[in-house]
Amino acid sequence: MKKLLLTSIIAVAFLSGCAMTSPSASNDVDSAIASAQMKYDKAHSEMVAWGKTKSLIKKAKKLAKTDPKKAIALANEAAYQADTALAQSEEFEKTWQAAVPK
Amino acid sequence: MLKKLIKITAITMISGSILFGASFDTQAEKDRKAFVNYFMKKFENPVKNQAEYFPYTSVEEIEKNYIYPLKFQDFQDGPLSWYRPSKEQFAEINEFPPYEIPLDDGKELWVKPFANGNTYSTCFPDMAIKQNYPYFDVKKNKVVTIGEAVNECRVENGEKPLKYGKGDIAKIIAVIAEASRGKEIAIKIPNENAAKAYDAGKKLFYKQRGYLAISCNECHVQSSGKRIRAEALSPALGGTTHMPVYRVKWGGLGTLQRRLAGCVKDTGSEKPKMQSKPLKELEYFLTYMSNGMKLNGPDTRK
Repeated sequence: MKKLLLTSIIAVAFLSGCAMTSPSASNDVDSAIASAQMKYDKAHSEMVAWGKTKSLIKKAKKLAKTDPKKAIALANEAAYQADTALAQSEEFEKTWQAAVPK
Repeated sequence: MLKKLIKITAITMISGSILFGASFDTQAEKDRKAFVNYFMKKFENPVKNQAEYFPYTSVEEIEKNYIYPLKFQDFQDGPLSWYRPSKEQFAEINEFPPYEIPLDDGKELWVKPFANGNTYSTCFPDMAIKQNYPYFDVKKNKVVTIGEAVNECRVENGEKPLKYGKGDIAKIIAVIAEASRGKEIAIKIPNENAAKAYDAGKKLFYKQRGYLAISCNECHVQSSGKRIRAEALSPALGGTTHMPVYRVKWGGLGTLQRRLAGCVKDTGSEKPKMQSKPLKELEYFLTYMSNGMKLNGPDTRK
């Protein structure tokens, strides 16, 4: 009887743990991908996106359900690349004219 | 009195348009002259200029492998203009030019009637026109490349447009290029929007980009005359004369748009679409820089 009770408690605790963590992980993945996508779209529209950013987001989307931790890492990497591309473009906007032969 | 007024107005309008028209390419002409001077000076005497332009190349290598002094028209040969090993390999490859088979295919396509009985000649009665491309179409308010013109011809005649970059479109352009050999590039900047398109292309050429943070300029102006491992970097001056080109790397004939898209990708940037507005503007700027240079395409490159 005790054994059954203990098993039930463990099972309930485990299931409730899953129920609590699952939506949160899912939210994290979704927001990481959405953020990366938004930043990439901006870099792409300004024609400054880096070559691998789009494929990182694509991979993150594929892994969102099966490996959320990895998906978040990939989305964050894509967001970082898009941010850097935009910042780099802003910086080079100030300096490119100096390279024109005079 | 009225006649006099009309006359004065007409003269003012004509002279105004001439003066105003001339002003659209003022900056571009200034850029082009400085661009040409840079290359002429750089390749006038690389031994003498070694410290300034070729600090990582030994005098021995320059004396052994560099061809100099270069004249303006010499730059139409790209890396073959200055790098002796490439020029020697090129001469051997071109004993049986690999572009000849696709060029012959293009000649067959040129005379093959469309479904409506017309041919490419209907659209292009004079085949020697490549020196005027890309041009700024004032009515359409955009840069038009030779590839686009070919596809416009097809669509006007009820045919499907060809895929850009390689294949049949490159073969058709090769036919036009061959007919245009010896013609001097004559790109014009007819209005303010054309000048804006030129400026956009210029910025794309000089502004660093991609995860490598490099620009077209850094490889093909500043580093032209140097090597990346065994490969000689071609000068941007004359970079469009020999297109379309049979590249050994591609194993076939490809267009200038394909080459430019590949170059932008090599900076670590997202590859731009062929015939996209930015890439056409880049072609417009780059071709303008070679104004006055004789066409010699199609040709062969590594």
